[in-house]
Amino acid sequence: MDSKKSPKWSLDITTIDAGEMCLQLSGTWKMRANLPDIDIIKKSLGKHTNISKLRIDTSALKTWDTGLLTFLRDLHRLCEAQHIDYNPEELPKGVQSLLLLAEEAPEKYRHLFSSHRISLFEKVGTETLKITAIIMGIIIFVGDISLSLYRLFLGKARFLISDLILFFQEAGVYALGIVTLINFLVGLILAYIGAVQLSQFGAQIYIANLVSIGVIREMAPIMTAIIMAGRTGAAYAAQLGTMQVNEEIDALRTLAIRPMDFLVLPRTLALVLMLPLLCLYGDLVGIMGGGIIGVFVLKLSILRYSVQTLSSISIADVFLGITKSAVFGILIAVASCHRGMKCGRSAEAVGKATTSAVVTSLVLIISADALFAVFTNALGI
Amino acid sequence: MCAVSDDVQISVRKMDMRYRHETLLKDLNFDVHTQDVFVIMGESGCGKSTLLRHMIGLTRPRHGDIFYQGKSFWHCGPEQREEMMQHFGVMYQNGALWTSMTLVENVALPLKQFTTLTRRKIKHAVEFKLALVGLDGYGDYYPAELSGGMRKRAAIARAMALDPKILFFDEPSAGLDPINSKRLDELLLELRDNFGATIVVVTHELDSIFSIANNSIFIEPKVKSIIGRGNPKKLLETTDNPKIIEFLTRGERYE
Ligand SMILES: Nc1ncnc2c1ncn2[C@@H]1O[C@H](COP(=O)(O)OP(=O)(O)O)[C@@H](O)[C@H]1O
Ligand SMILES: [Mg+2]
Repeated sequence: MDSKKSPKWSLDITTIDAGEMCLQLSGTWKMRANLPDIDIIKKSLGKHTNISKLRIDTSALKTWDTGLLTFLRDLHRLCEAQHIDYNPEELPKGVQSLLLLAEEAPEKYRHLFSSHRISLFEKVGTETLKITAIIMGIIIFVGDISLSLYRLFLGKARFLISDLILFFQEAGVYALGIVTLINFLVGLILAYIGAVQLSQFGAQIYIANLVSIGVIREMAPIMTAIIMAGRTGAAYAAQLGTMQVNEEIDALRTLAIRPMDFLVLPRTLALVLMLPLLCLYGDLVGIMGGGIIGVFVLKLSILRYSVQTLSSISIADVFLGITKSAVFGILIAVASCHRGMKCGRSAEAVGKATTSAVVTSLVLIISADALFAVFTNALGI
Repeated sequence: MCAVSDDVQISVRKMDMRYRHETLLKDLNFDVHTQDVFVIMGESGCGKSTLLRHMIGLTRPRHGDIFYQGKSFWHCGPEQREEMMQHFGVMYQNGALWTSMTLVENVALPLKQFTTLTRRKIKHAVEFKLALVGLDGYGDYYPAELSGGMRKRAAIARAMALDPKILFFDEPSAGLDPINSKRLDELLLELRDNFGATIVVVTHELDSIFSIANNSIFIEPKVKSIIGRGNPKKLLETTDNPKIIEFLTRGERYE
């Protein structure tokens, strides 16, 4: 706490003819005082080739801290390397005992081939192996989830019902606000886009068809899935990742509780069951969003708009939307839980797991949707 | 008890601590002198870590204050408090190492932030600190790749990084083997003797308590206060409180 300026350090290097060099350390040797570098000693040793003995005079040394100790440690190493005689017993007692404490430590064997260079082939090979390992990991994870589900049907899966209810709540009711907002706006946007085009042909009433089919087949499932990937998928990855960091998952394993059943299964169930429900709800809200434009902006009558909407909705479309949602739910759950379970043991790893859970989910959702488009087209649904 | 004499480093005055609405400890008064090895004792859950949190500036006391060399710690601006906190080195009970940094990076961070040392000097200082706690050669490891005791030692190295004037250790030897625990005791005494450090330790290690502490307090949760203080050896000789005797003898003393 004393901030008064302390006297400076000084280092005098003198050579005595008989191959002996004397270092005189005096003043205050504190870490923050811009202490000399060991290179100074190295240099003056280089000038006099025949030095075989080093003396250190610390009689005028006042206060010191780690700065002095690291300097002396470097000096010690230097002397060892250049086979120079050096007597540490001339140092103050405290310095000696602290240096000794640092040397005493059982030194770990350093990596023997740390400077080993990696060839391009080796790099390509290890990266390929890494990627295959990741893919294998995902396949195994999917297999594990399937086994978990199988155990669930046998009634053997062990998890907390209270957890499950919480996850339902978290992935269901609590998501309603954002799902409402986004789907409403998407319905509205669809209606606007259509309005400009269709009113050129005097076919405003077909806005109802555009909105209901667009929302039910594509927009509601996709948008809801994206929301849930960002909201719930990220949360799952972060929860499981943090549990991994704290060794909580290991603690479950040692109790012979399967983390797959206990952690992943309820989360997956929640997403797979809640996403279709949210999607149905999103259908409704989206159609309403479009309807608002139809009625208030395009001045269509509510009755006509409703009838047109109802006539344009087919059960097949609704089922398609729900099926998509369920598939997206599985994809999000698998991607997020997989990332969480495979998380490393650091704060940074949790961040990475969360990011990668969301990104993977989004890629999977959009790819799956494209596949759906191709197949439904081929099947004429 | 009220006059703050010259060599008093820390004085805690009339301090109350509480969580939510429950008072944990009340009316704490004690002094830590410069170059003390000061031990805080008490059964687990009595509030030792909480007391440390108050002393290092993480939690504001409900009432009362702490004085560092006579300067108020809690009734002053945040800048002054931060200025005082720069002289602290803290080892948290669970290590609290930064998990996404290697050991070298963990210990180097305070040096990088608060000194203008060159990278090479920082590297050497860090290596030295790691060597002091017996972790030479583990610099490139991440905390998750170490054993619990090693993590604890790395946390100690980090606390010592800046050669602080006051060191706070929360159960440093819990989870350490006897050899490392003894080395740690030696290290604490060396830090005190050579760097003039004041050391506040929470510990249950009876060997340490008797061999290194020259002052202590004993906290009793039932009365929410301090029921014993002073040099632990003398405390054991003079006290007639059965709780303290049991604690300091592990209940093995026969009368
Ligand atoms: N963040 C917190 N909120 C509420 N109570 C707490 C909190 N942290 C600790 N406590 C309570 O304070 C008491 C003392 O805790 P602590 O200081 O960690 O004890 P110890 O003496 O073992 O270090 C315990 O009873 C604990 O339940
Ligand atoms: Mg504690």
